[in-house]
Parts: sequence; C-alpha cells; structure tokens
Amino acid sequence: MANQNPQPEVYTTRHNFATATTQGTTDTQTIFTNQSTNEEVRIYSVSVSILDSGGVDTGVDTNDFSIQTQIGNGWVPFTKYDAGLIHQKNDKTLTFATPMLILFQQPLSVTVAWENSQTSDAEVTVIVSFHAELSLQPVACKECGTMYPVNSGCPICRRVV
Amino acid sequence: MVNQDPQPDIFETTAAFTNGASPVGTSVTNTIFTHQGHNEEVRIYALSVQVLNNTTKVDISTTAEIDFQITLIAGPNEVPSNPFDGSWIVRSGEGVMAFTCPVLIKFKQPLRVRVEVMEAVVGGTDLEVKIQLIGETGVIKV
Repeated sequence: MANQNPQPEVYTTRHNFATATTQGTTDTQTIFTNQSTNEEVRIYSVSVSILDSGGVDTGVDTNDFSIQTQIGNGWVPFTKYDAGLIHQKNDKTLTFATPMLILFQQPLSVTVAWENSQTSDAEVTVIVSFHAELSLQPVACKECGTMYPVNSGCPICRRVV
Repeated sequence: MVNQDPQPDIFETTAAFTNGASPVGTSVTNTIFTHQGHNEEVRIYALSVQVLNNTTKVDISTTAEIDFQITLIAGPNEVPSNPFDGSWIVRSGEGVMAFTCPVLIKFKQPLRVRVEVMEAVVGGTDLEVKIQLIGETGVIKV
C-alpha cells in the first residue's frame, strides 16, 4: 500500500558468492513489493555494487556477473544482462528504455549468476538496487482523456458537470 | 515556515561508526526537523552520501571499507518502504541518488534517517557517513 501517490521505492537485494564459485552458479532473491490490487510498480533503472568481504569495491576484479529479473511468470527484459558493466560505470546505474511493470500479486525475482569460465578468486557480495515508484493505477477518462486513479472519478469532467 | 515558495532545502545528518566496535547490524538513527507550517510540505528529490574519516574528516568515499544501507522514515512509515543500499551511491561518480518521484513530508511528520552497517567496520578507521537530503519546502496547493 502506497503512503503517497506516487511513492518512490528502492528495492535492494544482496547476493553472496563464496571464493572459487564455478561458472553458472546462481543466487536468486525475491522482492516483496507489498502492493494493493489497484497499485502498480514501475522500475526505471538498476544500480549494481560489488563489494568484497571487507566492504571494499572490487573494481575491475571479480565482477563477471549477470542479472536476470523475473516478473510474475515472465522474464523482463527477456535476456540476462551484464552486472559487471553496470558496476564499472561511473554512475553505477543502468536506465531501462521503458519501465518494467509489476502488477498486483506478481512476484519479482532477481537472479545473479557468475559467468566467467574461471572460478572466482574472492568472496564477494553483489548488491543490486532497483529504482522504482509505486502508485495507484491510472485510467483514462472516456470524455476528456485525463488520467486519474482507478475508482476516483475524473476530476476534470466532474468539474464540468 | 518558508521564506519563499518553494524554498530549496538541504537537510544534513551524519552517522558515526567506530572501528572494531561496529558489528553487522549496528545502526544510527537521526531525526531531522523540517520546521514546516501546517499548510506546507517538504519534497525530497535526491540524496547525496559521503564517507569521511571520522578523525581527520577527509573524504574516503571511494576507498572506505564499509557496506551499509539507508532507511528514510517519514512520519510512521518508511518511504521508500524498504532499506536501500548506500554502498553504490558513495562509490558512484556524483555520489547522488535521485528518487523516481519525491518523498513527501507532511505537517507534524518527523523525518528520520537510519544508517545500518551490513559488514563489521574493521578497516582500521573510524568512519562517518554524511547524508544530505536535497529537497524543497513549499506551500500546499489546492
């Protein structure tokens, strides 16, 4: 349930990988968006930070990870994408071309995988943060096209009437 | 009470963590007083985070041995509704994270900021996490 409309959200998952992790090893975490029937979550971008066991940024080392996000029963985006690339960017953030949409009762799962054919050389934690907003689902007024929250009635037309 | 409408506001808070005495889960919570009138609201658009050596006050954001998360609490509720990672913010180029939409603080809603370490602070340095909330105070429009 949103406390304000819209409400900013940042969903963070932490994925721990031990030393000598082999290629294809994955860690999946589920995010609970706790939204109501008439609410939706839109995810606009993702940030990645990879830290070693002492909390130090790994930089160019031990960062060959991928991310795959599952919304409900489908993959969005369709394919996995590189986490190491995002981690090494200056702003550590990737903005999606269009927002990812999460509707009521759709679980959001994040899978991080070690992709390198060599085993990993250090224990690391991959921290993934999704930048999102939670809001009431809007519908368009048949008369004037104004968007308004479901069940509220169009404020423009009510004023005209 | 605002002096102009809207009025830019920056709310700053710090959290200190002692080396060797801050195990996993250690948290510091501070309250920020927004001093708004009953017909005013505060909108927070972004936050910047910096990690300092708590003795010398030198910025060590990119090299600090710290893994931490941040929680914002507006009134009785956490907004965003979960703690979020602060590690990537301090190590990003700008050190700033913008929210997708503003956090609203209404009249008589206390604003609290909690910083929690996710790994023990054992890097040999006492640390200070400085957080600036970048927002504005404005008169509520009807």
